[in-house]
Amino acid sequence: MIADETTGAREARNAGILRVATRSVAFLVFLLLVAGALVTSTESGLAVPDWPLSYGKVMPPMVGGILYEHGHRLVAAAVSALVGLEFGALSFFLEGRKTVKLLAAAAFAAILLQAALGGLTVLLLLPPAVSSAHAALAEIVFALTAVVALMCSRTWTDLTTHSLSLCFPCAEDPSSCSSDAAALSSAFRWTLSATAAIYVQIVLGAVMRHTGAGLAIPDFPAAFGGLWPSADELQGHGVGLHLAHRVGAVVVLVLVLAAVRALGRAAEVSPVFAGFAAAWTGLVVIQILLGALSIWSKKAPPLTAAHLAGGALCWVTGVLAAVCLGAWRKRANAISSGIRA
Amino acid sequence: MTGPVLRFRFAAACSLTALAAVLAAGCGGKDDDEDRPKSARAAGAAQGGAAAPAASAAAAAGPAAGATGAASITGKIVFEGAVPAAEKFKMSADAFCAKQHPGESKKEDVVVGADKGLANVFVYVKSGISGTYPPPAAAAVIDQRGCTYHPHVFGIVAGQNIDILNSDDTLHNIHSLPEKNEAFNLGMPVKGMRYTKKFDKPEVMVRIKCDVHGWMSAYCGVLSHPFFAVTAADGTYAIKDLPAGTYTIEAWHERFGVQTQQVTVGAQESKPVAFTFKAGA
Repeated sequence: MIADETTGAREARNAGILRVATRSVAFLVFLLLVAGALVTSTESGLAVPDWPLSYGKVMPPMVGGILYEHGHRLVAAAVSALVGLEFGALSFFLEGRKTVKLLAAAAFAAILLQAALGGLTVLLLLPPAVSSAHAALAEIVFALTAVVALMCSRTWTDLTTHSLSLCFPCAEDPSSCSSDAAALSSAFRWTLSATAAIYVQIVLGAVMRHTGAGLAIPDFPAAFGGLWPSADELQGHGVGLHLAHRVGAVVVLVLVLAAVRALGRAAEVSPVFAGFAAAWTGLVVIQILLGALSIWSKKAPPLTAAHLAGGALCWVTGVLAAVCLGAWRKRANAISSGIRA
Repeated sequence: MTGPVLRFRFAAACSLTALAAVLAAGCGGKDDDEDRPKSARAAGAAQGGAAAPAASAAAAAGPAAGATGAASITGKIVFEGAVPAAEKFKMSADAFCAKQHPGESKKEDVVVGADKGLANVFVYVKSGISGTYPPPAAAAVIDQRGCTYHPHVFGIVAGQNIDILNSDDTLHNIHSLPEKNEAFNLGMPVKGMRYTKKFDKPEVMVRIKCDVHGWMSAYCGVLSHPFFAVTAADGTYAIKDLPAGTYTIEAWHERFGVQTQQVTVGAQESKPVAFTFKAGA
């Protein structure tokens, strides 16, 4: 009996440590992303011409653009090590779930590839394709670590281990189960669509940044003083790409609002979704404002970096909401099937 | 799990983590022979880059070389209207630079003299020249001194060497951003370092920047011939040793764009060609 209690206390403590550790890793990946954004925003990407060393040293003088570029490298080294530790700890000691192990392994592999892409883009003098791929993969790493943190969270544990009635009122009121499942399915589809659109928008933004098209249309909300660029203006460098990013913002806004509406209906099943809906709405509105401020400030580095950070948070909010909805929907469908059977 | 299995798993986890850290932080350096700096010898022997020596290029030309002559085009480039206020910045990002320039510095993109003469305009013969001109034997020089480039605007003949110096007791990187030529990005962490690079294809203009010190930029005009000049502080320029002919002269300014004019010069004749730039024109 005492031994059981001791084991239970140890498991609870380990689970608590794991929750904090995985959230910390996801947060640090986010900080790494912001550090990378500052490198691009301050045009410091080539302040250190060599890689993996910096001016032939492990620690060059941290002056000017080197502060951002080498600082990013140092943060990347530390965060990569932590992602590796997380992978090691989850895979070999702390975690029994195959999905979590696979996600941690994918995060670790992705961050290694990310480091290689970072080095490659420096050595090749920032070709837009490589730099954009570096930016796009960073979002994948962030999402993977965030999902690992989610799956080690209490919310996730409650869903997967508690009795059905705690998670789904419909388990005690079978008549409501089918409507719950329908609401979850609808929210899942809209959330998935909006999240995919956000990722495409992020990639468009990355290509825009790395091809120097951030101010290709210098005014906002107008475009060259009008509603839409003329045919001649569209021939200008990066104008089409910049315009696509603006149109993408409208598409993302519409899809996120539709997803938020569906999440509101899913909130009747679990209050978790109300939180996602509120956070997502706020983030998308702030993100659009930051996009406008980036143009009005003529790409002030703190604002463009904040715009990138906002995009990452919008993206990961969508990913986490979609993962939760997927799991909840699966469970609700299982309950519905059980009841029907 | 048994002890050996746990130990193996721990070792495997540690190894993978170490691999991640090594890939991210790095453990070896790039060894690029082409870009290896030459010895930090004195820079005095090399020619300045503001106006390449047309005569020496012509002298070096072989039988197939383009013609030279005794005609010249001279003039003054002025700025008309209210001179835009120079953008101010501080060099506080690097203590060495801040010491060289205490307080605020001004960007060099618009330098207008007391009599409205516009400096740093690259004036060159855009068309009307035929034949080939070999690059001068003497290298052009760009020096990183006082955390600014000297000169700010210069010209070279395609294929001519450019000696890149670091006279500062701080590190710089020199990063070229050409569209037709091969780009380079060189670290110059030690005072007295020198690299030699060249651009092989004509290109007006190639931007050069330092990513460590964001305010540092320079422009290099690369031509197939030596008939170019850069305006001095008073806005004057002179293109010498031209053969007689009809030419299109272009004046390029980093902020005010380009202007062109046609001119015909006879042998040994000197013709004035003036340009006037306006803000937003």
